[in-house]
Amino acid sequence: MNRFIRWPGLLAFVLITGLIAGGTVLFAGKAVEKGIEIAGTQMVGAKVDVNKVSLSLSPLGFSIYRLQVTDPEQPMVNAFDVAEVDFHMDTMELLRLKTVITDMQIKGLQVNTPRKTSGAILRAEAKPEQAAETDAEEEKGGLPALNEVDVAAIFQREELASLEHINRLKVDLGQAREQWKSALAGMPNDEKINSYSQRISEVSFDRTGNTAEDLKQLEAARKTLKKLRAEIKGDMDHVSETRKELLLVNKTISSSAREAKTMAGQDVSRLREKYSLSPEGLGNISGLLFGEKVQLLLQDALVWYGKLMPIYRRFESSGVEEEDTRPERFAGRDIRFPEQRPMPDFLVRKAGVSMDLPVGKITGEIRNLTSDQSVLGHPLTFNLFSKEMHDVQDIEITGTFNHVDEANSRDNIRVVASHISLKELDVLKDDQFPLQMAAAKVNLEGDLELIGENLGAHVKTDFMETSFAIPFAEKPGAIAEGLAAAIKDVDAFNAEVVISGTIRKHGVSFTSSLDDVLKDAVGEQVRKAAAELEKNLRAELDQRLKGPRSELDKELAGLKKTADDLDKLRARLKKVDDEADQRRRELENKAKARTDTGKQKIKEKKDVLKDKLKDKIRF
Amino acid sequence: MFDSVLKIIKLINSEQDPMQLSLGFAFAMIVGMTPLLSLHNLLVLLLILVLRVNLSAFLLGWALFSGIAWMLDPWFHDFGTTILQHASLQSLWTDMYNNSLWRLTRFNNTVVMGSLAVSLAAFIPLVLLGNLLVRRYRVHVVGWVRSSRIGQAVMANNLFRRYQALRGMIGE
Repeated sequence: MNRFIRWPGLLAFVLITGLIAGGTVLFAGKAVEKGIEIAGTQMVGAKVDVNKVSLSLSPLGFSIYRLQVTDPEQPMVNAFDVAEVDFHMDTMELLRLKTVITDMQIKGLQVNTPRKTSGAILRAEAKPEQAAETDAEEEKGGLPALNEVDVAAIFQREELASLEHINRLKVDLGQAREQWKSALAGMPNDEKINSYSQRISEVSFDRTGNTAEDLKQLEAARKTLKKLRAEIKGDMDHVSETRKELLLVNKTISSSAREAKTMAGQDVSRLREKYSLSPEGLGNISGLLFGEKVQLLLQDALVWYGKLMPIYRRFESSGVEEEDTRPERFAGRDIRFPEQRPMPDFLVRKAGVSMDLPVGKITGEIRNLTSDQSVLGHPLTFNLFSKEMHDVQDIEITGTFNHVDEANSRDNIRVVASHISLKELDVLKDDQFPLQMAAAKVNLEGDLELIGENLGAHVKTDFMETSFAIPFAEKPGAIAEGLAAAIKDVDAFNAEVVISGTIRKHGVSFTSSLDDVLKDAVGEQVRKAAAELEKNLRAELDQRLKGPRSELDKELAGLKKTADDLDKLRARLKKVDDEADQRRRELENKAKARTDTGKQKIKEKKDVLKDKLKDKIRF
Repeated sequence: MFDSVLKIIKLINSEQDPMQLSLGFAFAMIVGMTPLLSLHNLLVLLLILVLRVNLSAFLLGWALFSGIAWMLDPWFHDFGTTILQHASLQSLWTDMYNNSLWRLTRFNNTVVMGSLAVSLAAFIPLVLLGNLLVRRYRVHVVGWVRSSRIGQAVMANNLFRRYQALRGMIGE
């Protein structure tokens, strides 16, 4: 036996194994620390730092001290800063190479803390879909004019559809006139018409005494007149056609010119709506005042949602290995087989959270934190609450992020907070109306839901003990002053925000009881101001349109006169034609008379011959 | 303390039998060609310490086969993938996958499976071949070297004598 076995080797094996195990226990903490830093940095795209990790064997678990996760967009700021994370692991699942944390305690979580060193990394990681950019459906941005508006300045920078229309008509008319020049040049003038009359009078008939010769002459004269009449008719048709075209263009352009009047009205309405607070706009003045703030808050919320997404949502399809790409050397690829007890590779069953925010402490619990919800079969749920915040009496945030079936994902968050104290909050940064909420207490109840890409939210707020400040830089106009006075008197109001659309493109609707208050306060002033502006706009526009319009009218009048001249010309040509026709009839009558005379003579001769023949036969 | 450690080392490295040399080499093939931190290498470690295997040969072979593994890694991956995805073995792999101990062996990793399959298949042939080659080497080559002038000159050198003494400390 001893020939094949060396028993001291067993001792050596035990020693070596013991050394490895001891080394693992000693250095496991360090290894986990580096592992968290490397994996975390890769996932976040910015530095993740850990101060220390310590291992406990019974139960198996780790304690992570001072975990700092850099904000990728602000390298000198930590998105999350956690004082301590303690967690215990499921040993049996660990043997299956699954990291299942049964219980985790996150203590002292803070957000947006400053860093001592930059957390930027050289290589930018490709980020999963981030809900950072949004397009609000309302294109109207900012407050319309509350003070008196400079109408001339408006017209200098705005385009006027009515003026452009008239200028376009003038151009069209000019182009048409160029086309008629050649046609008008070919019209018969006085000289030509006189020549027609001359030629008609030259057509005559002299009796030769020879009937046949006379008839021949008459025929030739008739043909000359026929040809002449054809020429005159050609000219008449040319004049008629040209006149018809002129009248058509006149009609078309005149009708378009009348449209300019309607367009002028539309220009005035558009400018009035844009540059003044209309009586209709008063119906949602609170939207104009608070809408910007709501948008900013929504934007922040969506950015944070995007940052948290990689934690509970996987973007590559899990379990499907990409066989096209080669794995790293010596790493190989782990082939997955069906599991009898499916379990995600990483899961936190329950995590207790304690957040230290500037406003106070929030505690709560998160369950089923994993990016493989489809494997686990349960959604992530969370519940955060606080009764120890400085400026909030109590707050509760609950929600579920359900991505068990990614195709039918559904995230919802409910926030209920009471007596949120607001102090010196900038509501609107607009030089015309710099609105600040000096103080207020707010009760808030909100529901936000994201189903697939569709976003919907409904938030109700009650503002109490409100006081507003409006630090005008210059003396305000009547409307701004009226608004300021009205809003300062408000000590309570409620508001409702409804959001609908998608993450990237959604509409925000803000309504509140402030609308009626402010409408009553400045409604009459706004109506007067709007009417005054409209009057001024109309007067200025009429002034600007006057010149081009009269030029166009002049051109159209000239066109009408030309058409009338052509009509007169046509009448003259008709008269000449009638002369020619008259001459033709005279010649035909003469020809007929000559023919009748000839026939009579032949008849008389015939009668004489007949009589003579009769006499001869009698005898 | 240091002397005790050296004695242990000398003791466990005193084997010179060709079979022990080739066994050392063959075990080195398993450890060198498969990923080091695999569970089966713990078993190999136990075997090389408990069985009378030449450790110098093992260490030398480990270095050599690590180099070979670097070259053959892509082929191991492909071979391992073929084995793991073979239709007739799916039920076996599934059963093993659902067993914690087998999961620890990382048998479902393509490189582990491919390299281990190759090294296990080549184990016995390598032992036999190594045994044969060592015997032939000792008969023909060592004798020739000892009898050559260069060989005699080297063996007469002080440096070589010190080396021999050191070998006496750490091995044969």
